[in-house]
Amino acid sequence: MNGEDNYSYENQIDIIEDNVNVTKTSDIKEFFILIGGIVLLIFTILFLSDLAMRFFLDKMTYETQTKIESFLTLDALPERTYSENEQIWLNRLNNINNKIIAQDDELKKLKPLNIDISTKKEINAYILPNGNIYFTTGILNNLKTDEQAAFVLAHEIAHYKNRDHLKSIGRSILALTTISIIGCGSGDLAHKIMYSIYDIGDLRYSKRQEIEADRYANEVIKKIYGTNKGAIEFFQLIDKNQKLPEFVHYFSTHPSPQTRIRLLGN
Amino acid sequence: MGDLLLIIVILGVTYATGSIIEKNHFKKIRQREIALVKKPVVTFGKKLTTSKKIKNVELVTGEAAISGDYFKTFVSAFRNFFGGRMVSFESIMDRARREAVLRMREKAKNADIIVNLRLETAMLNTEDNNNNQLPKVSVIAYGTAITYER
Repeated sequence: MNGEDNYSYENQIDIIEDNVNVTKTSDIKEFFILIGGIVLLIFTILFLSDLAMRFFLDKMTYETQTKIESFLTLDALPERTYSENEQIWLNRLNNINNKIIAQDDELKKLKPLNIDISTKKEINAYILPNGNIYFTTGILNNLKTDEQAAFVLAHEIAHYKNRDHLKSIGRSILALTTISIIGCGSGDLAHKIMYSIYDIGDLRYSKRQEIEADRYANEVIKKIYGTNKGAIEFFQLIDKNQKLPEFVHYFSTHPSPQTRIRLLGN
Repeated sequence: MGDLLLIIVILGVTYATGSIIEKNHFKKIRQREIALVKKPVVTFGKKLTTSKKIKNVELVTGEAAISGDYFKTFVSAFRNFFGGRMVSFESIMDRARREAVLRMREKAKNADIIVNLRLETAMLNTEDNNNNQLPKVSVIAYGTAITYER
């Protein structure tokens, strides 16, 4: 360049070694910090929702509970005639129910729970928010002793007594509404992940409820029959029928039968 | 839950592929910048005056469109939630800008100097395809290439 140029650059040219436009951090570090923040946030929301539900529902009277449940009468099975075997089972289950109620004064305050049979083939028993307990044909075909049936029945009654159904519904409404509000504008993907983290928290919560119900049922059959053999046998039966690897139960609402046996053993 | 597992797998794969692509791109950009170091690009606040005879004056442009990967999109979605510097997008913007400038400079290989460089940025995400929120940026670099008489 000659000296008449008003811009001389040759001595000034240099490659800038440091790229100031890109922050010196790794994406993976950023990823873990942000995911950690989201997990903490969602679990705090779940914890507070759980706390709020416990605060209101544990104080609630049984009359109010019955009133609320009358709005939640879902999936009631249509009336039908029972086979001879089903009738025998219903009588047997009602007798066991009376024994369970007799050993716990709290249960006497609850409204009478109706026991029914659903014709599904899967091995299952469940209680609806209105207090109707259903045993599937599948479970009845596999239950061998009264102790086993008593454990299953006491487990379902424990859910009702603990108001697990109302707590779950209330907690879900509260937590999901909060997540939906705070997640607005953060994009579909972030929202989807928030719900997935919520699902994981929900599975943990559900497992805790199941363990609590197991503990109660375990105590009940120990009081009635003097042993918890029925509980262990029942879970061995479930384990034999499911044949699922342990890790699958991480994604289930129930702990694995092996875990449940171990916890009852303790 | 199946969704979550799928997302984790995609995240792992796209982090690996995205990192390799980005590292290679930065390496090539660096090599090309070094090769072009004697061909300056300047932006003047005042008029360029030179006693040299000008042979040719030409408008030169360079354009680069760079897309982020799934992993970066994922990270930025949460950054969007908490706020702060979108670190994962910074490298995309930097790559797009440097690539566009390099393409413009390579187009004006025979010129002695490029003056009055301008940069325009356009996000390629439109209202219609905004759902996946993949960052897609296009940078256009343009300037005036001047060739002196030899």
